[in-house]
Amino acid sequence: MILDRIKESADDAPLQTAVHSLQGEITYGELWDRSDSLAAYLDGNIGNHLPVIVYGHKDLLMIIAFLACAKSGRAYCPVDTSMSGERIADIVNTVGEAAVIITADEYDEKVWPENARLIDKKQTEKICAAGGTISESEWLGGDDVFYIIFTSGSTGRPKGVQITNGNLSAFAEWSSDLGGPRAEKRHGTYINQAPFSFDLSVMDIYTSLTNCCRLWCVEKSLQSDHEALLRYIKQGCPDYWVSTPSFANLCLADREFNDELMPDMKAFYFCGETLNKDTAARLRERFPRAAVVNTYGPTESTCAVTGTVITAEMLKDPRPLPIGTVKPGTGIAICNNEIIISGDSLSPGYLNDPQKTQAAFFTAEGGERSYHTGDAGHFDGDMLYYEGRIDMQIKYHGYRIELSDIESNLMALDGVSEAAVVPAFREDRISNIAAFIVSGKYQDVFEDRQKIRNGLRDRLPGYMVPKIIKFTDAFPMTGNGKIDRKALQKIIQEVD
Amino acid sequence: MEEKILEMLADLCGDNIVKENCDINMVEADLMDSLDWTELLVWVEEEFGAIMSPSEYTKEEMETPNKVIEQVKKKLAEQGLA
Repeated sequence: MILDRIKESADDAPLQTAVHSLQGEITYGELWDRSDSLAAYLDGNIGNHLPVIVYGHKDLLMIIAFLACAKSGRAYCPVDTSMSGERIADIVNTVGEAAVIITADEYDEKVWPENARLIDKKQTEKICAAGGTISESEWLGGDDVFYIIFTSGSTGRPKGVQITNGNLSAFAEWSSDLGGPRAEKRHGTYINQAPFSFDLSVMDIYTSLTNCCRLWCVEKSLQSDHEALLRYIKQGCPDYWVSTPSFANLCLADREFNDELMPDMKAFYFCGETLNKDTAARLRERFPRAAVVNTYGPTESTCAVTGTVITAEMLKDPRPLPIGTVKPGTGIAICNNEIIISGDSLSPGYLNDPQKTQAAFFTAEGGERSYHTGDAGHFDGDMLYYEGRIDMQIKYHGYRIELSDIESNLMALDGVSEAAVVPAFREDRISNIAAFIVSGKYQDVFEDRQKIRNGLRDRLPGYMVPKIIKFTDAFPMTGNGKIDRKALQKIIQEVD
Repeated sequence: MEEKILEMLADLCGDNIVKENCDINMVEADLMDSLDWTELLVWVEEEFGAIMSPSEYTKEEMETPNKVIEQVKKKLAEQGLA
């Protein structure tokens, strides 16, 4: 199980740095002892075994608190500082009379409901230093929930995805050998980009901690200062990198982002968004010795369940990049074009929400608990290909159109680095399709807009060719580092 | 009125070029498809009250923004709406 593996790291290399962030770093020994002390406090002072909310951004105390919860037999629920008060209130209401560990220097007291029991940063630091100990008998069992991550569901209240100790252990067992054997990874450095409330971070946090690696956390504030960002990344001298493709694109925009900046790079791991060929090809060019690994998986099946190293053949293939072969212990079936997941990393369901759990999870014919991903896909041999969200399909002039299909065809055009396609509405009906394009080659003039449209006309039926073509230097990003499609849609509606 | 028509054309074409270059050939440039033409004529009727049926016009008679404006004006005059 996870804690056993991390304990091995702490026993083998107590003086090695476990986590580094802008405010400092802690060793494995310190991580282990401080989380013991905080666990002892939770055990003695919190009367219930409800999940504990851990609030902050990339504070070192976040990771300490995660382990402390697990050691005291409680699940943790990470809440990032970028979340709105409304969303936080939803989360607290779903969790119940939660204890909240605050790891940020500042927080808005008014955001937290009265029934939330707050432990502020000063208090938490004091508790961690108190030297308390906790018995291993208090640790989470295999079927207990390890963490709860709320997904940003586009409509309605957010859903709290419960991931058990067993789910996470199965995932870490697989991710440890993904893109290179685990023995080579020991003592390496992992770049963490995603906020801890985004389950992409599970890949770097737990692959790193269970393999005695160093986690190098990139704070959000750095994303708006290129020079500082590159300097910080260089200082970490990373071997492994976990981010959204959008974040890699942000870095690639700088010529200095190459293997002189990061000479030790061995593998880039992507999840959370579609990895396009241009991003993969540019990374391989700038980092000829590093592997580019594409992975796929919904939060409901613990971060990722498929993965593959991107090869030169895949880049030459006219199809979009594959998302990989299936992790052992996981089953994937395609039903009516939809990717259905079962197996050992599948969540037991949403926290306190039997209705939504029942809507998404079901028992398949063979008796296997399964999950509707809402993602379309197909297999070629044992390699899985992603075809976009089923709900990214729109009806336009009576045709069923897959927006991601237009995106991949746009990116196949010469000179297009990134593309995002959104529908434009007149009143409540789709009046147009709009394409946003990042390109070093084209400018926002009619001739260039026509070149894009004409290029697409050679590849797609006319009704799929976006009428609105917008060039932009970079896409707006969400707090999680994905393309912010809602913001793009707003731009279109405002122009109208 | 010209402005309104250009605004609508830009919306249908998804491209502001029709406002900048009123002699651009929208048919040749593939900016308007048959559904857009129908939508334009329906809109002209709603907006100005002029009834223009698709069968009355050849594509050449409406291929540029200026020609569209000219045809709408003509129709309005014919129907005593101008």
